[in-house]
Amino acid sequence: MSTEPIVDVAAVARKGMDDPEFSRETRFLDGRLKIDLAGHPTVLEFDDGALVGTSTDVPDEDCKIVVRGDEEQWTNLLEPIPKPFYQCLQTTAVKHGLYMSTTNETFAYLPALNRLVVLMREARSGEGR
Amino acid sequence: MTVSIEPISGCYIHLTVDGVDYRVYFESAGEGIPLLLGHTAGSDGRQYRHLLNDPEVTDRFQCIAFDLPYHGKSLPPTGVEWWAREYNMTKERMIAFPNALADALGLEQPIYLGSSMGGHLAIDLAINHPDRYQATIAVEGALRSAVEYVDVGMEGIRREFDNPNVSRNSIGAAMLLNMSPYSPEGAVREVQWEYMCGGPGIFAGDLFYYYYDHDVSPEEAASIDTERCMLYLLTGEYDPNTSPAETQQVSDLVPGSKFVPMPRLGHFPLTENYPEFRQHLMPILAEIAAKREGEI
Repeated sequence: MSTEPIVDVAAVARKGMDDPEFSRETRFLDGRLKIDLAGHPTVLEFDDGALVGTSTDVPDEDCKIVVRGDEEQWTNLLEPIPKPFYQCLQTTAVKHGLYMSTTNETFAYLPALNRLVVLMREARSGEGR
Repeated sequence: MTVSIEPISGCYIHLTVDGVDYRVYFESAGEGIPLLLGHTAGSDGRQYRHLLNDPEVTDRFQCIAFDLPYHGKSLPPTGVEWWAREYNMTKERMIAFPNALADALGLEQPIYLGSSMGGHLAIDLAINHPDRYQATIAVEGALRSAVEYVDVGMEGIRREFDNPNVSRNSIGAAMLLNMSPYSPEGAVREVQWEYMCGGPGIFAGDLFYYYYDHDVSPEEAASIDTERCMLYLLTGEYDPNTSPAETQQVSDLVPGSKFVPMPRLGHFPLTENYPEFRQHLMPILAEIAAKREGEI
């Protein structure tokens, strides 16, 4: 496991609240969204669509949405032009074993998750800085 | 002011299938060899707007893009309590509608081109109705859809795509999994838009055919006679539901079929990236036209 996460998810999410698409697609979200980058979890806490806090250690069962992957899965997914079957979270899940929860919130907020991945890609490549 | 009217006309036709009257919408453009165009699961004939506006196609082909019942502008049938039953598309009904449309329009030896579930149907038509069609073109077709998706089961499919807690926006979002990162973002968003517009439960119900009722055995595939009905196959590199390797299996089993893998394209090439897609399609249409002219 690397000592640092490949992307600072909390920073991306905070900045994302100024992104028209991400802020729209997280509207009305209540609860915690956990993104685990190869053993580096970040938990985003939302209250009626507002990002009200971030933390690093909340059990899965206390989160509405959980996405967890190893370094290889995230590295390939976050490439600017991913190779086949790493093009998004769901493809990486089905074809390469990335974990995604199957709660109603996970499906309902898929547009937000997809946008978050784009923002993470941009942050990783330096575009979003 | 410059007025630009596209050379596409739309109309409604009544088709009777299994004793039920369906009011079916289709758009057409061009003249010549009839080319029926079947859309993907949960979407509609708008996916063909680029092809219908392509003069190199419409100069030689009478292109007919139809909306299956419950899709696009083809409303659910009157006289049926469709709201009281769960919608599931079957192979029998998938086959029945293009056949009925071809008969109603008096099309002789049409070509059928379909994408995704329409691509699967191209294979089913070649097996079951080889004398009705001169050729079928399967865009993203296979013996069966990828096993990882089949294994989800209809309950899992309905949990994701026919769930009162989840809006249809998420169906559009899910389509990202099928698309290529090389495709222009505007086109990707158009595919997603079309999916967000679908009727309630229709995408999930279409997947009954796409994942389960379409299940071609190697023996059935090998029975396709390309002298009677030529089978063309086109599949995008980024399609996880029917990968190029899965389409190759069909091609290996069907003597005389032609398979064109499409680098950098995804599951919706007709909408996702038509300029790239047409480079693969045009040689096939030219071959079909040459064969047709040779027989006249």
